[in-house]
Amino acid sequence: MNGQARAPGRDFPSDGPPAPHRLAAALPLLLVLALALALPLAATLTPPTAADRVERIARGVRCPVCEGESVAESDSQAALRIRAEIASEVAAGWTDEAIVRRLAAEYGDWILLTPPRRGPAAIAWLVPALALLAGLAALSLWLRRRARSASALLPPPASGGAAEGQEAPTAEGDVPARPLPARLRDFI
Amino acid sequence: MALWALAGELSVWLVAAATAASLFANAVGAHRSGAALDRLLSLGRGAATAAFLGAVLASGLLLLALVSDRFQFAYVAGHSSRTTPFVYKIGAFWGGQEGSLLLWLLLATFFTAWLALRPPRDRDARPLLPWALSALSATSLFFALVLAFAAPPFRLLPEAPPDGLGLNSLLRDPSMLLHPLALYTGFVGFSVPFAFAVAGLLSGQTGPAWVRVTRRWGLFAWAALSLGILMGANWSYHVLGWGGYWAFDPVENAALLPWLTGTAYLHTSVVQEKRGLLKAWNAALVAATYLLTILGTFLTRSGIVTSVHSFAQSPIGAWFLAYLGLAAAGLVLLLSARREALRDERPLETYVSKEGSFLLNNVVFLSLAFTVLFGTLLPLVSPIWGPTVTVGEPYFTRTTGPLFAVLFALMGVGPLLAWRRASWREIRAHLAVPALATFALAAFLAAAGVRQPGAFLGFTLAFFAIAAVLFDVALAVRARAELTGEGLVAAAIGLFARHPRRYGGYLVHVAVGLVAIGVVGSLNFARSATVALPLGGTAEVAGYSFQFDGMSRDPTPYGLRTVARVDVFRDGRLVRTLLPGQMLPADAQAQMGPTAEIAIARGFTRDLYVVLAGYDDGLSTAGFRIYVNPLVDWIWAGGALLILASLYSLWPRAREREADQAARALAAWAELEYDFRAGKIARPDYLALRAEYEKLAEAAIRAAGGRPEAARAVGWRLGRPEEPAGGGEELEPPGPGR
Repeated sequence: MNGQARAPGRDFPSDGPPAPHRLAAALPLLLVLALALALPLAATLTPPTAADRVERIARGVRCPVCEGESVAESDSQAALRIRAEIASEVAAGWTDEAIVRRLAAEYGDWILLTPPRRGPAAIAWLVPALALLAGLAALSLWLRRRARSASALLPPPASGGAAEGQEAPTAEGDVPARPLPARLRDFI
Repeated sequence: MALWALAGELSVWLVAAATAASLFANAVGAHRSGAALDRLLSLGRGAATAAFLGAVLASGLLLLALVSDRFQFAYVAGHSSRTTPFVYKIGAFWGGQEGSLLLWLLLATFFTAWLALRPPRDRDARPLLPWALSALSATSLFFALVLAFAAPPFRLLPEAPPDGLGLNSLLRDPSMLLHPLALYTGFVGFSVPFAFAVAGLLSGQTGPAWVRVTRRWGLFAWAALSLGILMGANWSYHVLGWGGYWAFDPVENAALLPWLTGTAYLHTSVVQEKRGLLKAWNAALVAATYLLTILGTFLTRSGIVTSVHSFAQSPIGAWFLAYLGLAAAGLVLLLSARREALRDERPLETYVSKEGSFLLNNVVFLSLAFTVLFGTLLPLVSPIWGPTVTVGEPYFTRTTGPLFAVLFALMGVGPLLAWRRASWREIRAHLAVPALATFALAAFLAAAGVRQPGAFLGFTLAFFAIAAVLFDVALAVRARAELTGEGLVAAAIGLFARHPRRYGGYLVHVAVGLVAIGVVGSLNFARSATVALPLGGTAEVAGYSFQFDGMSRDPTPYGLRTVARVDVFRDGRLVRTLLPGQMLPADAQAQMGPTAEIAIARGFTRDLYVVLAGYDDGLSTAGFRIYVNPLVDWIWAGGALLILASLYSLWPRAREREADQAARALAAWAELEYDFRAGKIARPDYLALRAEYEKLAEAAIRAAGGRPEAARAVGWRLGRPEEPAGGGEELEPPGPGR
């Protein structure tokens, strides 16, 4: 902060908001931050193994004899057996979908912790998406209705400041420079 | 013993009677004025105090029964034992259903008595207070009645058993001593803003007063709830032994739901406070948050949805369902009856503004809450259209993931928007800097080999949210330095010292970004293996080799502990020695089998996490579950920052303690100056807003002039030494041209 820049800055600047190139001064700092973040993130990357695939599939399969646990979490005999089945299928080169299909065929859809994407159970997937769309639709409808009722109440936006503020701009973008009120300066 | 139980029951009844008295005294008082109001209010104060003392007495009696092993009490026999360690005998107080409901009652009566005895200093709050106190008393009355009829904590067994069942061994962990306290403080805390919202609706005073009066309560409740959720996640991580911390279990969802709506409310309540908008919306949101805290208790305590955490099933379900139904119906009626009074004071001018971005974030928060609620209730509602569907963590992760992504994108844009009307041109210029840094990170991640779209988006959006906040703070620091002539460091300190609400909130954003990075990292890059190892055998996970190097048995007063020694090597070098174990409790909890004592070596980039799953009798072969969990510590670090930043935002300051309108308007004005100098708002809009704040500040100072003490306080705060002592001079409007 040099004095020259500050002297007019004490008043309301007539040169308007800072130019974008002045904002760019913060960019190197943020780039350093990005790098500082990227390094630990990159350090965490390790390629998944077959065991990780088994774990991931097992997280989506309900333990048949427990309450609210997947076979990945439970140590019950049934869960251990299903995990072993999944492991041998992964080792035999089955795809994730094939394994999940086999489990659903054997135990019923009930065993899956994610509902199937077909049939009536797919509603479980549709409803959250519909909720978001409904929310967005309601918001935009509401905004539009508000905008209509507002246009009657409100002066056009460009002159809004002039209507409410006491000091009307004498020309476009030309506001008489005024010292910052003492009251605010002391408060800041 | 019978006398003890009778005293306990009587104290619960005392609470019921006193809360009923407080409810009626305040409700009648709200219709009176003058001496009659004072009389009724003081009656209400007495009743609220009596209710709190009754709850303290009941809690004290139950606690005493727990720590002195009175097993004739069914609750003590069911949740404690002689060999339960002393601190967990205390923890058993909220380890079961009756005790946790009693804890709720204790907190609710405490908050009610606090408000009755120390009413808010804000003058606008006075007409709201009687209504709010009766709403709070109604909640307490409900819990007192549930405790009296459906979940009696002082039930006696016909004969005292020689020993109790003991506290569930999973709950014997230090974090379980504080987690329920924090969570319930959050739950009950949200009933204070709710009560004032109801008061506003009942009295017809739907303006910003109730929001302003309860702002600190809402933030306090939110911070407590966040702390409770984080502690619960941490407990799940280091006690349950499945390698994770959050499974969208119904009980976890029960805490998450009010957190989501409460977070939405914290954002839009600022819009009502600052701009007089969204009155109906805020009242509905805070009501929804309150109902969700009750629903959460109902879901987890009635056993209607099965969960690993629901330890008991009981008849309280019907009570909660009835209360929920009544309260929801009453609130809908009340909201529609007050439709007219809830009209906003001014229109929302454009969605390209801070207000607009808050509305959008509310849509996302509510979609999140709806999705979580829907998934939790699916086993109950899906039979309506087909086979029963129960969903687990993968479903929730897939449905909420995209919504969280949108939320983080909004977190990046929101801080760069000004109130009232932001200018597109400037938004674009401002977004360029954090966006460029984000692209740099994205390029680096792509080069490093991140291929999963979820991980890629998650990392970059979380970083974007952090970068945008830091950039905005940098802009404000420079604007402040220009305004005041301070150096950059002094300006930064001044900025945070003078505007704790805005910049405390931004720190919370940074904290949430850190939590997100931890969640995304551990969700996508956790590696694991389940292995049986002979003595000396090794298993390789994510570049670490885990070697089973011995095992020992260690009897303790509380049970038999078996500990395995696992040495962890990387590139042939020993990095850590982990000691996972199992504990077989000495009391009846042993029937549930041994509890795993998990060994975790925490680290900045990854945790090494080993569970002893089983072993043979000769202690020569052992089964392990091994996890290498990246970035989990970022969640706890981010969580700690989140709590600290909330506290900093809440810290009482002389300037705000006066609940002074002039100070508020001047603070808003100062923030507007930063925004304008940072180029976030166009000149006409800036001028209009400034005129608004100026008018507010002047009016407040003029009003304060009527009361000498307040005028002095304002004069001191505005610190104008160059002015002569005369009071009239001070009240002149600032600046020339008036």
